[in-house]
Amino acid sequence: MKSIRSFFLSRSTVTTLLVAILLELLAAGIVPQRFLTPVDAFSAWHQANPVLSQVVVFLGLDHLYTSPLFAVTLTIFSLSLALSTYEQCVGAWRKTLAPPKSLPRKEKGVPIADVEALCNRLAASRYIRTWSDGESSRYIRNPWGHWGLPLLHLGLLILIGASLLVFLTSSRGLLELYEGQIAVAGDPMNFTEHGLFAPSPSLPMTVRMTGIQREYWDTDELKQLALSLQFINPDGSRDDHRLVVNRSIRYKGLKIHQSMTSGKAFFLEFLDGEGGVNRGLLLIPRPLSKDSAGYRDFRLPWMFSRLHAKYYSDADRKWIEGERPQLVLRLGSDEVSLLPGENGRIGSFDVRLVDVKNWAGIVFADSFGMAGLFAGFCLLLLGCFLQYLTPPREVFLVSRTGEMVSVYWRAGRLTTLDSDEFEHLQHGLREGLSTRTLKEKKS
Amino acid sequence: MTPEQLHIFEAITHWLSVSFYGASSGYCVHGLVRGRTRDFSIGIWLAAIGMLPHTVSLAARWWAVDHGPYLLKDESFSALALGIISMYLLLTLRSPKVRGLGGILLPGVVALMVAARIFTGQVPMTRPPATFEGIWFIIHIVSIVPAMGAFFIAASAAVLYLVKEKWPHGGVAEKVPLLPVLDTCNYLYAGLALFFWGIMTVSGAVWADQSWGRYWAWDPVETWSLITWLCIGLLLHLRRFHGWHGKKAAWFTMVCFLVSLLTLFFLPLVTGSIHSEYLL
Ligand code: HEM
Repeated sequence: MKSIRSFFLSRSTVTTLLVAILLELLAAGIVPQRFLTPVDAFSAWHQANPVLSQVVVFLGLDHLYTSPLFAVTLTIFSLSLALSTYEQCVGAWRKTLAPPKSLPRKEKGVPIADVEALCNRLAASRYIRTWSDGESSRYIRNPWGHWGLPLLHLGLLILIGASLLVFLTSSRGLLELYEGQIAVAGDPMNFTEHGLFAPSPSLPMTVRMTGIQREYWDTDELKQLALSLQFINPDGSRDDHRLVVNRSIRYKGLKIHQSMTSGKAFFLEFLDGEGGVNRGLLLIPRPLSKDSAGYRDFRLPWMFSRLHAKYYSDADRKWIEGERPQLVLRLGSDEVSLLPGENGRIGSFDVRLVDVKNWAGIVFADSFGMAGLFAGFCLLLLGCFLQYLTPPREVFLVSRTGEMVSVYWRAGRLTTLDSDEFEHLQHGLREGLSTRTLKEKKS
Repeated sequence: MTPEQLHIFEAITHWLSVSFYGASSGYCVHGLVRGRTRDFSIGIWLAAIGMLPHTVSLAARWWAVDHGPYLLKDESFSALALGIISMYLLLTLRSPKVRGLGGILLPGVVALMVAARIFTGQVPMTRPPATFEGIWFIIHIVSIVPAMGAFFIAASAAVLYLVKEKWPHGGVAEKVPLLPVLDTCNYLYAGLALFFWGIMTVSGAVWADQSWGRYWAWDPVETWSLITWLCIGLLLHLRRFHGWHGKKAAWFTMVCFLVSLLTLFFLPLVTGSIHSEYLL
């Protein structure tokens, strides 16, 4: 048992673990990750690097954060961290509150005469007496600085635990709605993701998108996007809410955010050669300027090929939020451009642009453990602050039988920068010594 | 004031601060070459005075464009220079022994300020996206300044350490702070970089959670920001556990510094994410 403990606490284990985590993250920073990279780019990378690709797939480096390799490394890392944090807490307690194991070595001390004057000087320099046995005592400036590292590592531990909890139990769903559209509770969402222990998310309540307001800067960049939403409860009661970015809504235990996407919804009618009418609704993300287009591809169930669509906010390219958006559709090598109310032909279809409305995305997030995550963050930062901005300095006053009281000073890792402080204290001591000499002479 | 007048005022105050920093660099470099402590004192005072027009120039820009100094390259560089100078002055207040670092830091600041001006007007005026709002966003963006300030100081101490170690006798190296002082300075500022970089990462995560209901998305800049933070953690561990002081620590600090530059200045330009919307 002891050897396992010392394995987890050994310096080389800790360093190896840190290096391992770093190397894995580096790999994830370099190798395209499956969930971040578009499918085409992902397979192109693997085709271009056939040998590397095998290693990457074997180790799961293309989905590092869900790979067994990362899970194992993180588990060992957390075990080592937990044991070490406990040891560090014991160490900090010993350094601040418990009696010292041994007193400093005799030859390093400076003898002093006027103990009271020194104590006053120590108090003035914010040294606090943390231990005394009547003869010797220990003063520490910033004793809380000793708790910096234990807190930092505890924060890290809580952070890892809470992240895991959030990862396993949270779910998110994205719903894209156009103005006036109602989505009923239980409807499927446009995109969902969920942790291992969370159910697949479905729409938790009936929602109506009552309005979408977009505000622009003078440079055509989006200044604010505000959504007016209405939540319709099972008893028919309605709650109106306004959703803007950075100001999420809490509703029935869920956090509702604005998604980054919004644009125009195009309502189309496709007439096939046999007179059948098919309706199509294309939600296309908004362009970033009046001269550029917003793009999205669609697979419509009654169309064999993929339909490529883009739109310009204003057919005349004058406004970013024009009254006459221009829709361009491409099917194979056929292309058609439509304004609201216009007809055209693409492939074997006659197509009509019936209506255009605004649409925007809403994110429904259900997560558990976020509070732990932020508590971990705060502890970690507090620890870091205490460690580097309030470094502890210690003064021991030791009285040995038959000798004058000696003073010892220690400033840990910042000794070279803080040695002036001790010189300042010593200056007082020398004065103390000379006072004593004077007194002796007088007597 | 009309926008044009404000622009001219901003340029004048900017160049005024550059002049002070230039003079300050001159004194500090002279202090290094001649080994005169008085030169450092004058240099530090000049730098402190230069901070005044510098702050005014940044405020004028803020006023003119209605957003903080974080979106365009020129304003970001200028804010960074202000961060480095403030960190350096705070350091000299705490431990006057390290004033010699000014001989390398201040010329760096002048270069950064001149570079800032070169980028001015190279991109059309941009406005911040709607998400660039809220207290967590401000903390996220503001903490970059002390984080990079701390990194610059740690790296400068590392460079001076390596120079002094290589040529210990004669020349400039004899006048720079003693090796143990440089090493401790490197250690302290690596620790502060860990702290401020941590704040930057954490506040970014809180901001992301508030904006999009997701605190971490493993986007390339996020991943590399974590890598940078762990690199500093590794450096501090190597120091404590494996005696990597002095030369080894100095080299490793340079590596961490380069990784931080890569994360902050290079990746946002080549990857598409929310982080590509600054440093335009
Ligand atoms: C397996 C995980 C880890 C273990 C077991 C561990 C353990 C330790 C130990 C035992 C110390 C010395 C404590 C003392 O002397 O009182 C230490 C110091 C430190 N650790 Fe960790 N640590 C781990 C991960 C991390 C991580 C991920 C970071 C942050 C990036 C970190 C940051 C630090 C810092 C800043 C110090 C202080 C270095 C100094 O100023 O000398 N540690 N760690």
